[in-house]
Amino acid sequence: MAHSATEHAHDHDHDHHEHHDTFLTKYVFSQDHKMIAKQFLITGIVMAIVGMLLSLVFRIQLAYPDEIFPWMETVLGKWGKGGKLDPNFYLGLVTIHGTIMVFFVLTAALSGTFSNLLIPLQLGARDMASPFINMLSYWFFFSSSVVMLISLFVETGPASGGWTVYPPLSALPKAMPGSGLGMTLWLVSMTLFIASSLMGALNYIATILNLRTTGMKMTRMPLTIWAFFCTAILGVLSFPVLFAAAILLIFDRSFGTAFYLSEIFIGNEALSQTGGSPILFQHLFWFLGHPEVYIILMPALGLTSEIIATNSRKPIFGYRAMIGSLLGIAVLSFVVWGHHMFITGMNPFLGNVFMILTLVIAVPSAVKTFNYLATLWRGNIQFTPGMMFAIGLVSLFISGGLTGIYLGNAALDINLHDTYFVVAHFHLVMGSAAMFGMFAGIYHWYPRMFGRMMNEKLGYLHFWLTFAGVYCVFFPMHFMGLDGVPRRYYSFTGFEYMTEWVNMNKFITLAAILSSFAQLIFLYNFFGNIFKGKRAPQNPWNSTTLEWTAPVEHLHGNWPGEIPHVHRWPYDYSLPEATEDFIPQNIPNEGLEEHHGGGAPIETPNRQELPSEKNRADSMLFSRLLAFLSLRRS
Amino acid sequence: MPKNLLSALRALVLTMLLSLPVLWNSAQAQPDGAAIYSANCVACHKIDADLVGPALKGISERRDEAWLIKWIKNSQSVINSGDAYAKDLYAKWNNVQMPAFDLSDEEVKAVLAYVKAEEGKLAAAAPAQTAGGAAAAADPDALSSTQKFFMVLLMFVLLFAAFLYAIKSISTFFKTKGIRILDWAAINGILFFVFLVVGMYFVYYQFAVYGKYTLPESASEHGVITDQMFMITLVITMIVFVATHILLFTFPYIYRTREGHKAYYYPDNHSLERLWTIVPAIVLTALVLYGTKVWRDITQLHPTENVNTIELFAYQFGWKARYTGADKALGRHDYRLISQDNNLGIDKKDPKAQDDLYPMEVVLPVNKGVLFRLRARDVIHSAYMPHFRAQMNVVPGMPTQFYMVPTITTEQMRKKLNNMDFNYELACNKICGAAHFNMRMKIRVVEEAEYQQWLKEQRTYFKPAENLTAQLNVNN
Repeated sequence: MAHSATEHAHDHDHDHHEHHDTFLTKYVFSQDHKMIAKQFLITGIVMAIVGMLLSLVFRIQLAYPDEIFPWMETVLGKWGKGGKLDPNFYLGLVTIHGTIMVFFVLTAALSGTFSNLLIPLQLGARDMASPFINMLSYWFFFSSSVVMLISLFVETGPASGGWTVYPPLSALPKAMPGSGLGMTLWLVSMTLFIASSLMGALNYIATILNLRTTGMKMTRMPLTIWAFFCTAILGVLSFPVLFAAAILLIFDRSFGTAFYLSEIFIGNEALSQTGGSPILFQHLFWFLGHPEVYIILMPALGLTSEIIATNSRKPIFGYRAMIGSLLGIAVLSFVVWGHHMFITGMNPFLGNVFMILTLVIAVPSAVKTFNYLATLWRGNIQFTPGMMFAIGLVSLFISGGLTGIYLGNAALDINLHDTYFVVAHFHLVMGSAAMFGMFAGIYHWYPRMFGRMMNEKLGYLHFWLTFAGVYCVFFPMHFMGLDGVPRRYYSFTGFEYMTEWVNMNKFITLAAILSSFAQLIFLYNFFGNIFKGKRAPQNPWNSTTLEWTAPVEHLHGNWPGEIPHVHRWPYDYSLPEATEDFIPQNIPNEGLEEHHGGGAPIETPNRQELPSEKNRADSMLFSRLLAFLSLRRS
Repeated sequence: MPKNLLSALRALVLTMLLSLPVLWNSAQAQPDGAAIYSANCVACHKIDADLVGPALKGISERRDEAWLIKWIKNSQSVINSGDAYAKDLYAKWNNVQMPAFDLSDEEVKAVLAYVKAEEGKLAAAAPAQTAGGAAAAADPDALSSTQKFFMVLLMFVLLFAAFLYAIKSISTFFKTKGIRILDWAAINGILFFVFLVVGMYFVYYQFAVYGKYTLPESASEHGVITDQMFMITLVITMIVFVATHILLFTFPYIYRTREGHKAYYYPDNHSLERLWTIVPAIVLTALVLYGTKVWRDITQLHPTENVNTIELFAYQFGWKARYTGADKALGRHDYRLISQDNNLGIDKKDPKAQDDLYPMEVVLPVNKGVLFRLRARDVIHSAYMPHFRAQMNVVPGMPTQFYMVPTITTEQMRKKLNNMDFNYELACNKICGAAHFNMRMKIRVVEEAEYQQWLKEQRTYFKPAENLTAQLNVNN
C-alpha cells in the first residue's frame, strides 16, 4: 500500500491516511489532490456545457430576431412566451453565460484542475500543504455552482445586469426583474466562490513555497508551476476586493446604505440614498476584474509553455524571460484596471495614467509570443492534440491581444467601448485562448489523470473544427464593433444602421452551433475513454517533468518509494551531447546513460549542500528571487 | 441684464400664481402623435407584437381612454390604487414598470389616435399577408422557420456522423491491410499551412466586404483624428498579425516530426530577446504618447466660450434633451423634484430654468462646439453617438459631460452615403434593462440658420411660462 511506503519515506503529518478508503472518502470527500483535480474538472465541464447552451439560445435570438420558435416556450416556459425570447431573460442569459464562463469554467475549473493535479506532482510533493482545505475549496466551489444554477430557475429570473453587475442596475429590484432574488443568489454564489478560490490559492502558494523536493529550486520549477504561483498570488490579493464590493452591494440592496447609490428616481419615487458612487463599485470590481483576466490566462499560458516545449522536443526559449514576463504581467495587472473605465465618468486625467500602464503590459505579452515562436523554430514537432491546442492558443492570443492595443488606447476606446469589438477582443484573448489552454492541458495530462489515453484522431477533429469555428464566430464581430454595434442588445432591428448585421449574425450563430457540436466529439472522447481508453504508458509524451516519474496508478502520496530528487531544469530536450532527446529532471548528470530507470532514487553529490526539506523554502525564496532578478544564468 | 432678471422674476411669480393649463393649451399647436410616439413609446412597444411591453394593437378597445390617460401618465399610481386589471398587467410583464410620462391629455390622445391609425394601416395590409400566409400553409412544401432550423441542425449532425464513420472505416480498412497511408504529422502540418492560407483569405475577404459596412467617415472634429490614429494602429497590428501567423503556422509544417530527426537545442539568446522586448516597447511608447495627447485634447482641453450646452437626460428607457434658452445657462435640477409633470426634476424657482427648451429631438448646428451635460434618472446609461465617435457614460448622482464639434450636416451625410433615410443616432451603450436595445434618440445636424429657426419652434420646459414670458416681453 502506498501509505506504508510513504510513512517511512516522509515525516510529514498526513492526516488523511486512513487504511480503508470508503466510496465517500475516495470519490466524494476526497482529500487527495488528484481526485480533487478530477472533481474540479468534471464540475467545470458540466458548467461549461451549461454556459455554452445558454449562449446558443441568445445567439439564436440575435440571428433570427423576428422568427417564432415554439420550442423556446417549451424549454424556457414564460421566458419564451409565444416562441419569442423575453428581453429580460436575454439579459439573464448573457449575464449567467459570462459569469459561468469567466468564474466557474476558466477560473475555478482551469486553475482548480491543473494547479491541484500538477503542483504536487511536478514539485515532488506527497500532496497539497493542506489537503483538508483543498477539499473544502472544492466543496465551496461545488455549492457555489449549485446556487448559480438554481438562480436560473427562480420566478423573477437570474441576475441580468451583465456579469459585471454594475449597480444601481443590480442593486434595485425595481430596475429589472433579475435584480431581485436572482441577484441575491448571484451574490451568495459568488461569495462562496471567492471563499473557494482563496482557500485554493493559499494552498497553492503554501505548497509551492514549502513542499518542493530536494533540488527543486525556484529556478528549476516548470513554467506551469510559475504560472500557477503567479495566478494564486493574484487571486489572493484581488478576490478579497471583489468580496468587499459584494458585501457593500448586499448592504445597499438590503439595508438601505448608500455606498453605490445616489440621487436615484425609480419606480415613481425618489430614493433617499445620496452621496454614494456607482463608480466606486466599478473600481472595486475591476480591481479584481482585471487581474482576473490574467488569473484566467496565466495558467493556460503555463500549460502551453510546458506542452509546446515537450512536443517541440526543445527547451522553452528564454526560460528566465518567460518567468520574468509572468511576474511582469502579474505586477502590472494590478495597476491597469482603469482601462475598463475610460468613459465611465472617471477623471479623464486618470485615463492617461491607465493608458500608459495598460500598453506597458503588452510588452511582456509580446515577449511570451515571440518566445513561443522561437521554441517552435527548428523543433521536431509532435502533433499531439494537446500540442495543436497549444499552437491554437498562441494564435488566439496574438489575434485577441493585438486588439487590446486599440482598446487600451483611451482615445480609440471612446468609440469602441462596449461594442462588439470588445466582445471579439475578450472572447479571443481571454475566453477562447484560455479554453484552448484548458483543452491542451486536458489532452496532455489525461493519461496522468485517468491512466488512459484519449483518441488522437478525434482530438485532431475536435481541434480543427473548434479552431475554425472560434475564428468564424469571433473574427467578424470586430467589424460589427467598428460599425458601432453595442453589445448586450437583444436585437439589432431597432436602429437602421445596425440592421445590415442580421445576416452576419446568422453566419456567426451557425458557426457557433457547429463548434458546439465539435465539443460533443470532445465529450465523447473524454468520458468514453475514462474506463475504456487504451492504457497509458508511464511517460506517454517523453516528458522531463516529475509527474511522469510517478506510477500510472494513483497512490496516496504519489510515489511509492522515496520522492525523486531533482538535478536539472525541466527543459533538457534534445541536448546535443545526450543520446535520448529528453532527460527527466530526476536524472543526475552522472547517470545520463541509465536514465530509463525512471523514478529510481539516485543520490546526488550536491544533495548535502541543500538545507533540509522542511525549512529550506522560505529562507531561500528571497535569495533565489534576487538571484533571478539579476538575470544571471545559474 | 437687470431687465432680464426682472422679467424672469416676474415670470417666476406669475408661473406660481397661474399654472392654468388653459392658457398654454390654447397657444399650443396640435400635438404630433407620431413624434411623441417615437420619442416615448417605441423603446418598449410595438403596434403588432409584444416586446418589453404588450402590443398596442387594439388598445382602445381593451381599455377606455380615461383609464389609458391615467395609466400612461402614471402607471404606478393606477397599480397602487388597487385596479385589478393594472395589477395583472404589471405582474404579467415581469413587474417591469412603465415610467410616468409628462404628457398632456391632448398629447396622450394624439398618441392613441396615431396608434389607431397605424393599426388601420396594418389591418389594410394584413389581408394580403393572410392570403399569402394561407397559400403558404396550403403548400405542403413550405416549412416554418423552426422546422427549417431543426432540419439544418439535423443535417449538420448527420453530416458529422457520416464524416466520423468515413474516417473510422477508412482507418480500420488500412489498418487491417497493415498499410499506414495516413501520416498524421504530415496531414496536420499541411493543415496548419492550409489554415494559414485560407485564414488569411478569410481576413482579407472580411476587410473587403464587411470593411464597407463599418461606420462612415467621422462627422465630428475629434473623430477625424481618432480615425486616423485607428488606421495607424491597424497598419501596425496587421503587420504583426500577419508576420507572427505566417511563422506560427509554417513552423509546424516545416518542423513537423520526422524519422531520426532531432530538434536544435536552443534555449536562449539574449540579443534576440532584447530585440523583441525593446521593439514592441518603442512602438507602444509611440502609440501611447500619441494616444494620451489625443485623449487629453478631447476630454480636457475643450473651449468654454461660444459653446452650445445641451443636457441629455437618460432614463429607463429613453432620452430627453434640454437646451439652454437666451440666458445660455441651464436651470438647476434636483432629483427629488422629479414628478409626473416634471420629468427632469428642474427647479421651477430658478430663473435660469424658465427659458430652458425641451425639444423632442437633438438638433445641432454644424461646425459649432456642443457640450453635452449628461444626467441619469435611475441606472447607468451610456450616451453613444457612433457617427461622431462620441461616448460617455451617464451616471446617476454624478454628472458627466462630453464635448464635440459636429462637422457634417445630416443632409450632407445623406448625400455622401446615398441614403436618404440616414440619421445620426444616440444609442444607449450600457446595459440598463429590458428595453436597453431600443433606447434611442435621433440627432440632426443642420446649418446655423436652420438651427436658429428650429430653436424658435421649440417649447420651453415649463409650459405655462413660455406663454407668460412671451406675453411679458410683448407688454414690455
